[in-house]
Amino acid sequence: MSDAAIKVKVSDIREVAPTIREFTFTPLKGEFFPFSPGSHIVVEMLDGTKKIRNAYSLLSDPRDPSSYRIAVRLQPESRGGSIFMHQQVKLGDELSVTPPSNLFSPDWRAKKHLFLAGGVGITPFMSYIPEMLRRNADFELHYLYRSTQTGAYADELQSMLGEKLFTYDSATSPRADVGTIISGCPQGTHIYICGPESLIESVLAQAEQTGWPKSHIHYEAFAAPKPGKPFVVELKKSGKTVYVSGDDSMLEALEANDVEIPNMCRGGVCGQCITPVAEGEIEHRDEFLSKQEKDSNCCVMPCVSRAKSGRITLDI
Amino acid sequence: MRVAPKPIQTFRDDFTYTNSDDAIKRFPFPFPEDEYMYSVNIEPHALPGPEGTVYEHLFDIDEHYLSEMAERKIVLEENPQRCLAMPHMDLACWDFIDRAMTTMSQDYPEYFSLQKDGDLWTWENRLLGIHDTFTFGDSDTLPQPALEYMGCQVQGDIAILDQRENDLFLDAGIVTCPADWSLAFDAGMSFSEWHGPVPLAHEAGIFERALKYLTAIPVGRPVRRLNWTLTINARMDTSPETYPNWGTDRDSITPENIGAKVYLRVELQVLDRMPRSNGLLFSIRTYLISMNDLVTNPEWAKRMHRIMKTLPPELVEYKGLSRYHPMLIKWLKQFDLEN
Amino acid sequence: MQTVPTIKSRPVYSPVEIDQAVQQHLFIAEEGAFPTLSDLYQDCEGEKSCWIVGQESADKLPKGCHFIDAQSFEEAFGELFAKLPISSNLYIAGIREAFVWDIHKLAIQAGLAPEQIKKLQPLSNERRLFCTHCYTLTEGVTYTPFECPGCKRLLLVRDHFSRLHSAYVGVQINAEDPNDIPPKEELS
Repeated sequence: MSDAAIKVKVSDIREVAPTIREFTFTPLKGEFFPFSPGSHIVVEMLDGTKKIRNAYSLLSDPRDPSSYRIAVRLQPESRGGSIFMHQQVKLGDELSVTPPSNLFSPDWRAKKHLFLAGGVGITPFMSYIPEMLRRNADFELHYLYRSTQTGAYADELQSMLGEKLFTYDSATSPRADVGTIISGCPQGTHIYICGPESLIESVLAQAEQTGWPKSHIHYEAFAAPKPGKPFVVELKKSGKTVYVSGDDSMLEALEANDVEIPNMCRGGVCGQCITPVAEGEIEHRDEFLSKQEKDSNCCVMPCVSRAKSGRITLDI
Repeated sequence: MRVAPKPIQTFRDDFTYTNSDDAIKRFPFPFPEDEYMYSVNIEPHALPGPEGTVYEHLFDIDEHYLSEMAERKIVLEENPQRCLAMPHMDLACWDFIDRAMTTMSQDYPEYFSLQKDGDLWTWENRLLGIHDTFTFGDSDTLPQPALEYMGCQVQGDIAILDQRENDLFLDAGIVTCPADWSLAFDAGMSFSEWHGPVPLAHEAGIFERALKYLTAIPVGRPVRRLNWTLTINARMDTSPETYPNWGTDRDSITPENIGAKVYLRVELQVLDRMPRSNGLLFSIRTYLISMNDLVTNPEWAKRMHRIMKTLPPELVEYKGLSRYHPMLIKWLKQFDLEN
Repeated sequence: MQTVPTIKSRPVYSPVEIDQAVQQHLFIAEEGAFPTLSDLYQDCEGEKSCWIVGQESADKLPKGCHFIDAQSFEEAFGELFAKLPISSNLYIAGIREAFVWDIHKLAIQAGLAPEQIKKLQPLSNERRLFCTHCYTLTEGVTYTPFECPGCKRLLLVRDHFSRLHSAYVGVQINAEDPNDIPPKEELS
């Protein structure tokens, strides 16, 4: 990431829901790239000596290169990225971000687009909507949240979208019924989901039961690496030994020990950080490797995957 | 730019194309090892690359600029279907215009300039005498279709790939100097479909890997790879469309003319994410060098011999070298006596 | 049984099954090709209909079967597909491979997903041929080399297939040596 990092300044911080903070970044020099709807950036945070890198969807208008905006939900049980963003980052601070990358782009051939957002999962749709409106595309946004915690931009969306918006506030009304939402869509509808795994799973299950085509259901598959048990990584070629704590990803631990591994999404999707395994069983948590590759134990995506037992050896 | 554009030379009929000493020196010789094998030889195209090399800028403009642009015009006049863009590719074509105009005006300010006043852009190409003002994103304000307009001002073929369903689709392109593939036929194909005829690589899982890599390329971080074949005469347009015109060339090789008539054809392929559309720009910049010019570099001469000797028969056939491959090995042997 | 093609653009036809979770099932056959669909049709318990492109033939056809002539199926299917509920599957049987892929393209344009379009192995070896020199499309090509009716060149019929054109590509076979003409060979 260092080769193409973009230096940004935090030019605005807003609370947009009880647990969600919005950050506006402006470039230290020049202009940002425009981006495509659904893009994300990776924000690099330096917490003492520990480097944390998290991916966040861009939520500003993709055609406006003057600033990038992201929203971060405070997740006290996570590995610290959101806590850092909420507690440490101040107006005027400088941060490094990657250029935008997109693994959640709309399919413009769709006859109709149906968006399902859960909580902070509203963010990628914030960049979809301006482009959808420009193209006069047929779309609906179904927004599930709990107003005591989330629900960012609900008012703003209401005035922008009118009857295209459907909100479901679980703090004041019963849970949304996914089956009702997706039934009755016209031919050629594509569904896009961003939210908790349970939301994605319930839509997929519903689709399976009712004979919906899977390839017309899109969801943001990557997630920040989840913590796990600590383990030790031995590097066969360089002879180094690296300790991976429960809170760090293997990639982060390697980087902290000056082992640079090319990487991009840091979420088990892009495949850049693929690393050969010499010994030890892997708990694969990525979306990149095929089942065959995972079973053969030949390689690992250190951004999200971990050792099954206490020790593994990488062939680097 | 180290090598200034020279007056127009031809890539057909009398073939007046030549490489200057400087052009030979910067030729992208594609073989890092003595034995040739397919691999996912993709690497970051970090810009600017080393000064004066073909890797310095996103679009390499060299001494053949005017010749290649004249050649492209001839091909398109003969067959306008060598340029096509499906309607959903409009925004991606404008992304390409942005990337090309922005980088070329910065990289070669003596030849190109761009002024932006909001969406009102003014572009000047002093090499071709073009000076236009247009509204960015509005194709009606350009004198030609967007892709053709810009494609006729950059060297090399351009394909723009639409990204969807975790795949890349060949939905737009301006292709006048291909190494034997037809845009009109391959239009709309997925990544593995349009590579369908390539032997060996499918079995090696190379396309699957490459596809996953390519779909994850972020904005502003282009990657590149080199590809190669051999061409008889300095012919840019080795398309299947015109194969009846150049097929017999392959039967015209003799031990006397082989050094002058056989050219190493190298494609510098650059893949660059289009920011607004999420399309992928696939530029295929072709460099030609005659065997006579190539062997002026003794290292290249030696290696060329070894590559030819170890080339798998499937590739000899696929690249269309069968008729003169043994003769070429024999001729190259004189530069690599110990092997 | 189809062998695994060396050229990866050549379609491979996997066995087709009925997904009973799907709401509507459309069976579409080129005249004379319905028998390959009839078992599937019998097995299908959901809402189903049958469409024959062409005339009534000697085949035993289900009751209430619809007939569409070859000139108007494009428009008729375009409209029909667009009105289908999302939970729909198509089952296509053709004598000619080009027929199967022409229907496939109409369905994609109407918004269906590729996995909803079940295609059976075409019954004949007839190919639509795209001449790479003059872009002429020729139907019913069964052998190679084949003389292009557009430019009169003798074309090698390759296995490289375009789903956009529903056609295989043809390239002049004797462009390097006009006298080098291989014997005719039946296509697979």
